[in-house]
Amino acid sequence: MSEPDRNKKARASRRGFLVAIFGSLAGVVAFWSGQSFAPLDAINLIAPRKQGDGPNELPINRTSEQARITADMVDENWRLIVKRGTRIRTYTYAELLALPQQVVQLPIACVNGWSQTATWKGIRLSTLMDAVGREKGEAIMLTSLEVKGNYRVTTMGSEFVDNDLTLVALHLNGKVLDIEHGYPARMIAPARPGVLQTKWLSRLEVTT
Amino acid sequence: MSAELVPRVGKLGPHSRAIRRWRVGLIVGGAAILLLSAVILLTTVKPTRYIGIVEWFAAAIIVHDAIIAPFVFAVGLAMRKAGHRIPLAVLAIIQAGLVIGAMFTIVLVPEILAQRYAHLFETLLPFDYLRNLGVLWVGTLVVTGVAVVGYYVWRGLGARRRAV
Repeated sequence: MSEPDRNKKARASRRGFLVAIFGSLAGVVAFWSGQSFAPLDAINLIAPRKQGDGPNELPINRTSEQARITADMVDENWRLIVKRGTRIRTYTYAELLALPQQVVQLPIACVNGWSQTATWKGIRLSTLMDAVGREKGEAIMLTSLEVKGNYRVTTMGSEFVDNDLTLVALHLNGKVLDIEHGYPARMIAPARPGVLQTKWLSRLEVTT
Repeated sequence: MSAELVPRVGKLGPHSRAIRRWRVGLIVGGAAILLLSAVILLTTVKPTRYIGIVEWFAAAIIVHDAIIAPFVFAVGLAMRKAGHRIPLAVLAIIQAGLVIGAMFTIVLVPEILAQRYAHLFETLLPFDYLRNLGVLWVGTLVVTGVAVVGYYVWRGLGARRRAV
């Protein structure tokens, strides 16, 4: 083979290599991104999740069964306890519904890799915490009804509590929260990992 | 041939020196990453998990040496033999199609295998990923076929233009 032929072959091979690498990367990104990027949802063939799939048109990870939530734990006897030191307020579901409701658009950004925006309706967290005398800069502890789980009890920094977008949500996408999404009440805050958006809330307590 | 063009034995040209510098840099960089990885392994991973890590490496070697390498060798051999009759550009298009299909497979197979544990993943992996993999492979084959046909058409048009 002459020298020019060898050079031509080498160039063609490099071009093929680059086309293969960038083609496969572009393919994986295009067929994967739909689980978080709605315009590409129709061609999402690789990612585990799809837009709007699940109760309240939003995917779930941990189920109520896995969290061992039973119907009697979330019946009319359910209460949300809000506490700071010796000041305690207890709310029934009806009392929470009677408080001023806010509507926000926030995503569940799951640590599994998917992220989907939804419409949430509920009470501003700061409103509930102000009712027990929380002061600016104080963090809180969230407790879920779930019997066992790494995130049954978590803390939330003051930057989330003070944020007006942070809600104790009672409705999701225009409907009452499904039990799989944390009925009767769950946390939704901006820029917080999905596992920390506590479902099946039972207690909010100032920690400092 | 003039004296300037005669290669001088024992002296490296600027191109070779650059290659050597890159090689040394990559080897030193690789060794540093290995050392850092060893320190992280020994300081952060529980000794009870060492067996699992060894198993993972053994499985990776088996998958690479017993499955991937022979497959790549066979494809390379077939391509080389076909290269006497098929244009290089067509071979490159077919190779690109195989790589793209392999990438889809690598990403989707873990999802398909994990669905065996339905009780753990019923909400995490709710769809038919085997069907999706089939759709992607069919799509890749169609696009590859169209690209090959397109190349032959383009080459035929070029030859006709030259003949006119």
